[in-house]
Amino acid sequence: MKKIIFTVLMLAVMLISPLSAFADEVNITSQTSGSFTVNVPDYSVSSESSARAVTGSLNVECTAYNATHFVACSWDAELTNDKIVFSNLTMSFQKYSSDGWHTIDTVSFFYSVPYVSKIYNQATFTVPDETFAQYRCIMTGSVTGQDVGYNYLPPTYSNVAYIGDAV
Amino acid sequence: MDWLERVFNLPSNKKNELSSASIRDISLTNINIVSKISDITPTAQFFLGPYYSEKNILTPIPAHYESTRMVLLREIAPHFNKTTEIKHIASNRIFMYNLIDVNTNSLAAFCELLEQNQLQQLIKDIYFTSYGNPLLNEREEKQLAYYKLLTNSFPVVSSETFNETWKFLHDTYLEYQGYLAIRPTNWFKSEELANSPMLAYLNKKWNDIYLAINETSNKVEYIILG
Repeated sequence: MKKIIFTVLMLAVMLISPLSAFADEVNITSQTSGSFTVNVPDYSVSSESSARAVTGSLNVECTAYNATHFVACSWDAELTNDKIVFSNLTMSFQKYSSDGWHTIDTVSFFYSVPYVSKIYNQATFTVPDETFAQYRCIMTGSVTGQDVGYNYLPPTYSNVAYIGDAV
Repeated sequence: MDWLERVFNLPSNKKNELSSASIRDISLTNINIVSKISDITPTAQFFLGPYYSEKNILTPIPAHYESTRMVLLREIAPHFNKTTEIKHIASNRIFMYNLIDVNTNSLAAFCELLEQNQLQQLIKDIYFTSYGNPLLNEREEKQLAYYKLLTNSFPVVSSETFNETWKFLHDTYLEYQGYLAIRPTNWFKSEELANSPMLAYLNKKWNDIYLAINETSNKVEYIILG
């Protein structure tokens, strides 16, 4: 009987110790991954862990065309010390109303890119004929650099574009 | 491999006033390409090749010369459903086009050329010729190593049918940004690669050629002319 109890106890110790080690591993992972969690199947090196400093920028500008009732929002993304090979960016097009900004359309820019430092693109949005309205967009997402892998760019707001006559 | 030399730095990019312009200084305009052509020139084949295996590609082509713009708009852009012209507002200079969304008829015609063995031979070499084998590795990491081609290790290869394409690539990417990257489809670092007619052709045309090799799989990710 004693032998059985001893065996059960030993088994319990063996089971508990890998579980606690796993718990430590989870904690460490969550601490080092910072403010975002990235599932990176193809690239092991993130911008945070790379020894090579990479800086990137994302710029966006909206222009309203009153006569034709559309707003064109253009953007560029650049990595200064690396080449862009993939873009995974989303543009949220927003309209201002009395209770704040509301997203009314989104466009994805999900492309392979053949190894260039800077990419440009745009989206156009048809808007209703109104006396006065305010629009803007927010760009979010990442570009992938050839050497450093995923590079998250900070969310970037455009200027506010006005349709109709400003009050 | 005595024709490859490991290097640790690539030459830096060529800077130019247009590429450093702010988004406020440029305009992007979607242009409507009316002509639909069935002929796929070697230059068009070069840009259609990557779409054979992947459809969602943005192809930016620098085009600051009138002559290259004409080639782009007549031979390449008609094979795409969306062409965006990028212009520097102050100087009123077009400096780049984006091509997106390949035309399905064009891609079908490209596949037909492939099946009938009528693709330009150097383009077939880049996209449809296999060299070497992948390293079997469970890791999916993508660490790149750069190797420079040693220039006297290749035979002299000329190609009348690719010369126009080379001129286009030279006058666009190499002139504008100082480098050109070509992405072969199924090339792995191996001795067989020394037999590639494309590498031999490029070696005759350009001095500094590098292979960017994925160290985990041995895949040649890019041929970089810089």
